[in-house]
Amino acid sequence: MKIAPSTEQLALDQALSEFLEEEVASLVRRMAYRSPYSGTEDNREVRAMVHQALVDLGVPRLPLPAAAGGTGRGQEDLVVVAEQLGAVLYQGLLPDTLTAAELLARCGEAPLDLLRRIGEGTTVALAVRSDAPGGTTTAVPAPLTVDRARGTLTGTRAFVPFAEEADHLLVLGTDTDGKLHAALADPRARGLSRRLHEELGRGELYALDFTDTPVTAWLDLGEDPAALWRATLDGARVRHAAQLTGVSRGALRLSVERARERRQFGRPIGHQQALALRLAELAARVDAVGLVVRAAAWEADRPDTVGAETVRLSAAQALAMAAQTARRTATEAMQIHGAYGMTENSDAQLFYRRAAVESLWLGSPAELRGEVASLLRARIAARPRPVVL
Amino acid sequence: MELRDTPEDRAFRDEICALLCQEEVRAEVAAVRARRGGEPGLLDVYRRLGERGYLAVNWPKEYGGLGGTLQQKTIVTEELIGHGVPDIVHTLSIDIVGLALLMYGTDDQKERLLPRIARGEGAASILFSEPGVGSDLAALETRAERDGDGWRLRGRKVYSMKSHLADFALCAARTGESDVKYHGITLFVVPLKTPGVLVDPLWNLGDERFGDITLAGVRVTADDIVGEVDGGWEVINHVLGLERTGVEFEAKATRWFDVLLRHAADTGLLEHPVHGPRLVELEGWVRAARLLSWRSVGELAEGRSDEVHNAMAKLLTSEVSKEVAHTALDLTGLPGVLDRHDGRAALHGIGEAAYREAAGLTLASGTSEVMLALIASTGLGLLA
Ligand SMILES: Cc1cc2nc3c(=O)[nH]c(=O)nc-3n(C[C@H](O)[C@H](O)[C@H](O)COP(=O)(O)OP(=O)(O)OC[C@H]3O[C@@H](n4cnc5c(N)ncnc54)[C@H](O)[C@@H]3O)c2cc1C
Repeated sequence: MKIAPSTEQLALDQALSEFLEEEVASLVRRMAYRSPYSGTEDNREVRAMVHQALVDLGVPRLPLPAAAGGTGRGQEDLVVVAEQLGAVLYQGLLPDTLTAAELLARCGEAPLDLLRRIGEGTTVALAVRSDAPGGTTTAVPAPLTVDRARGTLTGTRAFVPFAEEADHLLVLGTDTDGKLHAALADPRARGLSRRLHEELGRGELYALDFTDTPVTAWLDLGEDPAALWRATLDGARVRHAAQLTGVSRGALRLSVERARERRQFGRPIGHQQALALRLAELAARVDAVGLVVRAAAWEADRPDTVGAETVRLSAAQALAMAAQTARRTATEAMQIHGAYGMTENSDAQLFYRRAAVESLWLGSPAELRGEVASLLRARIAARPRPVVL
Repeated sequence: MELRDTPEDRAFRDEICALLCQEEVRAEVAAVRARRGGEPGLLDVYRRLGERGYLAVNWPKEYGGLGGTLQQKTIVTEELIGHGVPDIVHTLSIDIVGLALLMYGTDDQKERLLPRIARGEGAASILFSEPGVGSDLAALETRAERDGDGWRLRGRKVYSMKSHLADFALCAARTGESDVKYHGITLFVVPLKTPGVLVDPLWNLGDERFGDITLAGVRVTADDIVGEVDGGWEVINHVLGLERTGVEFEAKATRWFDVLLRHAADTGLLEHPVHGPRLVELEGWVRAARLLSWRSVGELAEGRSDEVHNAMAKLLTSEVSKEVAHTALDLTGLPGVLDRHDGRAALHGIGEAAYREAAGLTLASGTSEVMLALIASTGLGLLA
């Protein structure tokens, strides 16, 4: 793995940062934030505009196979995008859509038509979590009752993002026979009800109830559906880790700006070592976590060389570290901003809210670590030298 | 200093607890929690405590208290918070503004202002912070301009809690110019429900709004001065210092921790390899923070309040509260971000609210950095 990004990655990074210049960034930061105080404006148009811009930049096509008009790029490139989007607190359907695309591409008889449409802007929301303990790690999709004969499914799903505006739902679940099933469903299908969650992030998170809901297609998850989902999830975790690293970078940038501008005791508060050194430490940690995420991405792109378990361990590790760092950086941003940071106008509180939700999105750090602790043993064998005592 | 309640304190605690467990009180607390938008003001439970003299139990009888001890007052705060009763009105009115008036107010001011708050029928707020003035309070810019035998106040105050429903506020303003910024500050008691004062909401992360207050020439007189003209800084410093026992913060840490512990015990998470030891560690710090608070309360009661001890108490009680809130999220996962209005919220949304409130605890009543600087300089003789 090269520590320095490739020319393609630099170009991608450049294109995104040009798109996300300050004016757009400030729109993006609040494009899915329902404030009870600033009227009932619906930001759906802004979200559609941002998604279209990402399509124009070729982002959803990155992971698609050539047969679906894609460029077949891996996690190494996708994390560049995810980090840029995290820094502006992007919330939208891109992450779930990319995960769905990767899953679909791995299916038997990959639905090339749908994949092609994803490249052109079609969106997918994942319905895979439950709100039962452990259900949010998504390691094992939540229970679901499947009736293949009638082509329907029944069950509940928590924390489905943007369920109202997604073009498709990708429902994953474990049936009573212990088998994993996946299906596409129409978000407007009969027998499907949804409820907007009331939550810390004030975002677009829904609880869904499927009651004999017809599916549009069953997906063929092949011989080992669990392994297929795990590999897909590992990629999603790596990208989410990158997004959280972006959240850290954004929160850090905001804090540094505030520390330079806010004056107390006759000088900028950033002149106080107590604050400056803490921000400096965070800067080092965020860079470090960014590299851990890139290393995990590099491994995720080479499962045949490094082994599936290494990919899984590194992905969970990167995500746990990125999540913790994002929460810490956002909490620090609140402290640096003082009472102003708590007010609706300040973006500090947005970072603080989002960091909490995003840090738990694919499992809390403790859950992730518990999940992969047993895999750590393999790191010894992977060392270039014997561990001498 | 007592490491546990004395038998008398225990009996007092039981009595307060019984009162707060009454059905009417529980129903009121539940109604406040269920309400959207509005925020708790003068609750009926305050009046219940007030009519028995418990709300300001340590104040003299003539001002609505029972002449009780500071420990008893601490117990009231702990029990209010422990029972999930919103406490900000109580803390502001009794612990800060009330204390300042008791110590520095004139007899007339005490008679005029204290009994109503002690009975839970009135509230007081604080107008210190300004847009450009937070940690460096002595740099405040609100002016008190001479007007005959009185003054007119002009300026803008921010982040003030409960000013939209309080009767009066303690306001710091500049009466004189001086090269030394600590001189020339005067503390006034200012009526809030008058045309010279505009109170706008400043919505924030918490459940309870900040006030954005414009002082548009409201008139005050010598009768409204707390302490000496130009001598407000001493009062502010003294009162803020005394108030920093951190009791409301340790009570919050304890309350949140107990809710979390109950959840962990009920769900088996206490046996979890990561969460179990974390909760044990946290329990130790919650107790430690509480003991720091009680040390400060004990010293204050004996008239030998220690600035450094108080700073330690304020620092750790608020920082530990924050840790409890973060741990609650880690333990509950995504259901922990659902708020109390969402039927599926973990911990009935108490963890979610704690996370939002926690951000302010290390800022209000002296930031963690200011506490650290105090411990380092006065306590350790560093930074000189
Ligand atoms: C929940 C809450 C309730 C409040 N209620 C009231 C109220 O009722 N009435 C009222 O008047 N005010 C109220 N305040 C305001 C409160 O008094 C201020 O938040 C506090 O004085 C700090 O000022 P600031 O927030 O402007 O932060 P700033 O002073 O801008 O400080 C920003 C950051 O810089 C740090 N910093 C500043 N100076 C130094 C230094 N010399 N060395 C190291 N670090 C430094 C601070 O610690 C902080 O982390 C409330 C605040 C909160 C959060």
